[in-house]
Formats: sequence, C-alpha cells, structure tokens
Amino acid sequence: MTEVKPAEYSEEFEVNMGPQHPSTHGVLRLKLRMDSEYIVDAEPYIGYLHRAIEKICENRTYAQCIPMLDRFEYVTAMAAEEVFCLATERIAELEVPERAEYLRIIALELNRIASHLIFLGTFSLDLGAITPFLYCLRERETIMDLFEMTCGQRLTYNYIRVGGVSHDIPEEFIPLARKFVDTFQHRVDDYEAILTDNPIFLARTKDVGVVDRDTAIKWAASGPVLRASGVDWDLRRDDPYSIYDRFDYEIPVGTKGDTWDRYWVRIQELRQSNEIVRQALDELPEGDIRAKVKANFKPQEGEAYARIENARGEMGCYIISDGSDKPYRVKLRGGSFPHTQMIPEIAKGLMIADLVATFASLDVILPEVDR
Amino acid sequence: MLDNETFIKTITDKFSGSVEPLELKPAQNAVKVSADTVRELFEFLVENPDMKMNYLSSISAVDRMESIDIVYHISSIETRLKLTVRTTVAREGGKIDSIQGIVPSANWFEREIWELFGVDFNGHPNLTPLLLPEGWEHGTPMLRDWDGPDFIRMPEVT
Repeated sequence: MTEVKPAEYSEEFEVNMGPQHPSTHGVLRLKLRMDSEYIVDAEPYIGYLHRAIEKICENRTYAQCIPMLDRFEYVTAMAAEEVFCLATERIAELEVPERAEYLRIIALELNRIASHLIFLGTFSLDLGAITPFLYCLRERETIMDLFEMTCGQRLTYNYIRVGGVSHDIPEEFIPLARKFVDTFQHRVDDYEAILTDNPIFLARTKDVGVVDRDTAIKWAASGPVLRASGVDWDLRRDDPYSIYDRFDYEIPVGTKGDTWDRYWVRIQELRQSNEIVRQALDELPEGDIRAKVKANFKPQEGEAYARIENARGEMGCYIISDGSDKPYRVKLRGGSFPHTQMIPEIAKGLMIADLVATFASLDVILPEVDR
Repeated sequence: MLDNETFIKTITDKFSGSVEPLELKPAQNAVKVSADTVRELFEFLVENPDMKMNYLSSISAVDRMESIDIVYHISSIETRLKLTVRTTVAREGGKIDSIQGIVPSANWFEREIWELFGVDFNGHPNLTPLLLPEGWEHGTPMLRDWDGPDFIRMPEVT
C-alpha cells in the first residue's frame, strides 16, 4: 500500500496526530496532510520535551552531568551514562578496571533487553495485541529488580561513573541474574509464538513502511532500523569500545527493511544480548570497580566523540574539555533524532494505521530527540 | 582500503590551501576546513569510491567566544573510516553552506544549530524553529554568554 490513491470525491485535508497521542510514545506532533485515509505528507514537530540538557551539562561538573544523562535517554539510561563516561575517559586517558568493564557490559546488555521489551510491548499494543505487553513487563521487572539491588534505582541509575561503576553487585545478584538468563530464552520463544507467524500481525507489518538500504543510510538510520534494511553494521563490532570483542554473539540483519524486519531484528537481539550477559556472568573477574578518580576531577584539555550501539541506534556524545572541572561543550546525539527526521520520507502513501505501526517499529523515544 | 594517514593526506592534497590536517588530543582523524569549502569537501568525501563517507553521526556547534566552530563527525559504513571535520564561522551573522543537499540527514542538525547558535546555513530549505518553545523571544541560548529568564548559573565548586 505505497501508492497514494486519490478518491474522486475526496479532497486533501490536514490533521494533527499528537502531541498527546497514545502511539507517539511521548510528545511528538505529526502534521499529516491526508487524502481520504492515505498520507500525502507528514511533518514532525518536536521540542515538547526540550530541557536543554546540553546547556545544563556545560554548567555542571562531570560527576553532576551523569544524572542529567539519565534523563536524556531514560529507557536505556545505562547507555547514556556509558557514552558520556567513555568520551570523558578517552579525554582523560583513564583505564577502567577489568571488573568494572564486565559490570558495565552486564548492565548495558540487561538494559538493552529491558528496552527491547518495552519496544515489543508497546509495539504490539499499538497493533492491538495486549497480551505481549503484560509478558514483556513481567520479564522487565526482574531486570529492574537487579538494577535496584545494585544501585538503588529502577530507571535513572547514576550507576556508570567516570572510571568505573558506583557500586559492586550484591551477593544475591548473580543467582537472580543467572536464573533470569536461563529462563529468558524460553520467554523469547513465547513472544515469538504469539507474534512472529500470527496472520493478523503479518498483515499489519509485512511490507509496511519499507525503508530500503539507501534510504536508511542517507537519513543516518542506525541500530536495528539500519540492520533491518540489510546493512550489516553494529558499532559493538565495527567501532569497538569497552570489551565487546571478548564475547561471542551474532548480529542479526534483516532483508527488506519493513516493519516486520525491524521487529524480527529486535527479537533476535534479545537472544544475543541474553547470551552476552550469560558469558559476562561466567567470566566476571574479581577486582576493583573504579579507577582512582579525584573528587575534584579535571580531565586534561582535549575533545572526543564517543559512540556506542544503543538499543535505538548510534548514541553519540561529543565532549570538549578545557581542562577545568566542567565540560566546555557536551553534544548529545541519539539514534531517535535521525529516525524522527526520516518520518516524512517513509510516511508518504501509508494509511494512518500503518503509520502507527511503522512509527512504533522505529522505536523512537522523544526525550532523546529533544534533549 | 586507505589507512588513516593516506586518508588524511588524500583530502589535504585535493584541497590544498583550504583543508589542513588537525591535530587533536586524543588522536583521531581530523581536518580543518575553511567555511567556504565545506560543501565541496563533503561532495568529495561522499563520492570518492575509496572513502564513501556516507554516514553522518552528528554536527555540533561550539561557541569559542570570538567565533563559532562547526564540527562534523562522519564515517563510512563501507570503508569504516572515521573523520572529524572542523570549520570556523563568525559569531555575529555567521554563514556557512548547508550540506543537506549532499547528506540529507544534516537537515535537522543544521536547523538546530541555526536555532540555538544563530549560524545561518546557505541553501537550507527549512530554517524554522525546531526545539525551542513556540514564540521564543530570548535569542540563541546555547551561546556561552547568553542570559535569559530563569537561567541560573551554578556556583563555582572549589
């Protein structure tokens, strides 16, 4: 359904979708020009969640920035902390202790699973399937519990710090995490049993909202959206950071770039992240959890752009240090920003219900777009 | 495949006089370009078959008080090269060519810089407010000496 079909009696009209709309996952306004039920043109309006995080970070010390970063991308707050710390550590030439690296990987990958579960739940909700949402939140709950016992927070962790992590994991963490890892792979089978070959689900997602390879690269799509379009590109492997080279995992790549492919890539990533967590738990070494960082931390002059593979694509952080205790400039880039920008390109000719499905499959979260 | 040294050398040779290598700490592939060559440089980087720098990570503006730096972080999905491109424009009425015709994803990044730093992008089709509230009348807030309603600077930590 990619062709605009002009009905004889209809005329074009404009309709607002959002800023408050259940399927926009936050506050995004889409101004749609419609011809009967088909979209002629879509224009996204953002900024409803602009909190000037970049400006605030210029005005805070490095340690004070990290809680702000949690608000930048709250669904995978660990990733936001990691990318900021990574850039800072590159400038300050800090070595992160071995154990801290492993703890970070466990946190990051568990967080990716939690984020994809939110995606899976809300995506199926948008398509009218309510059951998967309940299942997804059930599994996510365990991850939240694991984080809570580690750093006391369930959403905004302030866990990954410059030079390491804030707390070591408590004793009861490992048994619970292992139990989770062992059962989770079967849970993913359950989700797939409900959705993957479900005829209604297929009708809503197959060949809907196709983003081909060239379009995806042109609009700087990243993460699962880019991989669903058939581009084999994962920053964990292609621009290595932390200790990802020590783990054995596969990178799922789609073929067509339709909504179903984006769903399928994320489902496979759930399995792969689970495997990484399992390996990290097996190999977790003893040792320090934080490098020696002075209370009045001042990295030397320099600048670095760090980027990591987040659940929503490339998350980047560009930090300039002038040698003082506050960053001179912090620029944040989330995967959702280019994905939102891409909407006019892929929305043309879709029906409004298909736009809901397509948009949900991009897995955009707005705080990351608006910053 | 180009190694990093030849990569930088190819670019600086091609645009000798307007592009020069830039030494940054920590070390990374970086060039400094004069503002009027940015468009040509990007055309070259995207189209050169050995480089194919087709993936734009971000465009950032940095207020250096006497001028504004525009920093592009680009890379290539095919060749896996990375590059930082830096250029400088005037702080008052700064102007630079838009690259959104070559790299479409630059569109919103440039719009954001126009809005928050007041840098004008020649040839940009849609320089309209992106992030700030409707009816914003307090100028370009990302400039370092900006002051506006409800903005409180944190006291110095000693």
